[in-house]
Amino acid sequence: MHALSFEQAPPPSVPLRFFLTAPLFLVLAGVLLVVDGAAVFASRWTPSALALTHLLTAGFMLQVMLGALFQLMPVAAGANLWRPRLLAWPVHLLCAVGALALVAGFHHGVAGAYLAAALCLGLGLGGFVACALHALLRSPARGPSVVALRLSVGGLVLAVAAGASMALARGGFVDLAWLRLSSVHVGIGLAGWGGVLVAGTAYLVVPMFQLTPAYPDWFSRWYAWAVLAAVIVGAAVPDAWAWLPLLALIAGFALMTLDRQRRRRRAKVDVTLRLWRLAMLSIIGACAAAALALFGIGGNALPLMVGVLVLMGGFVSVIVGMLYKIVPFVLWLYLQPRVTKLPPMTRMLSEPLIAWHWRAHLALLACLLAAPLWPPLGHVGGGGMLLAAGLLGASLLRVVQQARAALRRGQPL
Amino acid sequence: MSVLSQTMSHDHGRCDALFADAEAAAEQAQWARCQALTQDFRGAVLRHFAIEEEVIFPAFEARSGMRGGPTQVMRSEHAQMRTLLDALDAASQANDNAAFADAAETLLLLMQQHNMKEENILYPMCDQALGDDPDVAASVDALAEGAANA
Repeated sequence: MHALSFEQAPPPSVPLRFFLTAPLFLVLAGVLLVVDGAAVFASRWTPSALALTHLLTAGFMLQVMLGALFQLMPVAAGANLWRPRLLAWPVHLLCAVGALALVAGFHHGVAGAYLAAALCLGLGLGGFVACALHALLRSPARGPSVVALRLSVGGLVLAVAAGASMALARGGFVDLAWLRLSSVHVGIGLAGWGGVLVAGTAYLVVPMFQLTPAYPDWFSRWYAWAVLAAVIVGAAVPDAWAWLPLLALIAGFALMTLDRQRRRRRAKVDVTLRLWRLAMLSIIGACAAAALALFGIGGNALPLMVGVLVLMGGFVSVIVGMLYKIVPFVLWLYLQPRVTKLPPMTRMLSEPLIAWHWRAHLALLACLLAAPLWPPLGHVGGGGMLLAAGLLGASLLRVVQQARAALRRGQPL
Repeated sequence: MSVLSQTMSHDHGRCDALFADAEAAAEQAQWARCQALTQDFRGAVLRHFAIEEEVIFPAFEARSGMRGGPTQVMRSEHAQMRTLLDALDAASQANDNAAFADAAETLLLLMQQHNMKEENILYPMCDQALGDDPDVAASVDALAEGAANA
């Protein structure tokens, strides 16, 4: 029998370095918007828009997703990563530097920055993916989440490979024809990697946080495979129609999740539930808008709105909701056997700070959604982004400070 | 899914339902109801722990030779949850909404990630190792019957 130990969940420093770095990318996104807000919302192809998009995806989202995988794989999938403490160092550093280089490349058009980004992200993610797939394929655990995690990590490889090719093409290192991969890069990156990862996580955490019914077997068993098939159809068939099945699948996941949450047993409504609902509604809106945008309806503005809905409304909302649960819990679990008078997990967070963050997040989303219609609003959105990022960072740092204080109190010298 | 996995996972669901009802009663400040439901919830969880710690885990450890591994982690998480169950009970007795919410939130996350590890990893391993163990089968059956009569 496979020698399995649950104790191999990593020390908290492993996921936390990713979770605490992530808000810094939102701060940079805020700065970029304040400076360049109008240019960002002129077209999705402006250097500023590409830089902002990748601050959110390759910066904020990637950091949290990597940290979450380090934490989730051993606990949820019985997949113990090879020496997580040692692995986290280079993965964290290379991905953070790679994301910054990529953004610098887009924003300033520097060839060397594109090359550095491709190298750093390629190396960091290559190392991580090799270890993650090794652990996931050896795992004795079964179930839809494990399948979804495997497929999503495969999606990450393809999204990064396509992205790296395009970065090198922009830098003048390879043929410009590679830039034609942009739809495939977006489809695989957002749906195959991000979407399937969120789905695989949702099968576990949506029932867990709110005591909802489980996702139906037929759904969780086939969903990740269906997304894979739909991405292949979209990539292979040179027609706008070919992406519609993927949009339908994504909207289907959002509807299924809203239905689970509607049938929850827990009476309590917390910020995580609100953020998840906001995310699912944003995703449904994004799918409807994207279907129109595919056929050229809505001009330049509609694709930008889709981007705002997917990234800020969808992914950032879900991720923030998860961070508010995971960060205190990871630290609480670590402290519990080490400290005698441990504050309850809930007291490590500040309710008023979170309430303000929720309001700032809503205002930010509204502002960014209107900005494609009147681009100068992008500058105002930058202020909102800085405020929201600051509130998120302050909340997370507060949890870490509380944990440090508890550790000091609990371990007199 | 074999009988052990099925019955023990189903019992997790029963405990979750009792938890949700107790928490809803606390939210509505129906303290008498909350106290009774918290007691029911605590009793159901402790009974579940007892079957695991007294019957299933020792049989699994004897059969697999794994003593310091998964079962040890499960036992230490049971100890953490017992402390929180006491805190939850005390909060319901004191009609203390804030203390109840604190204990409930922490307990829920701890309980859910614990159940996830058991349902995804440990129970399937137990199914494989203990499929023919008569003592384990009897305890699991008794739990299933108890739940059906509850």
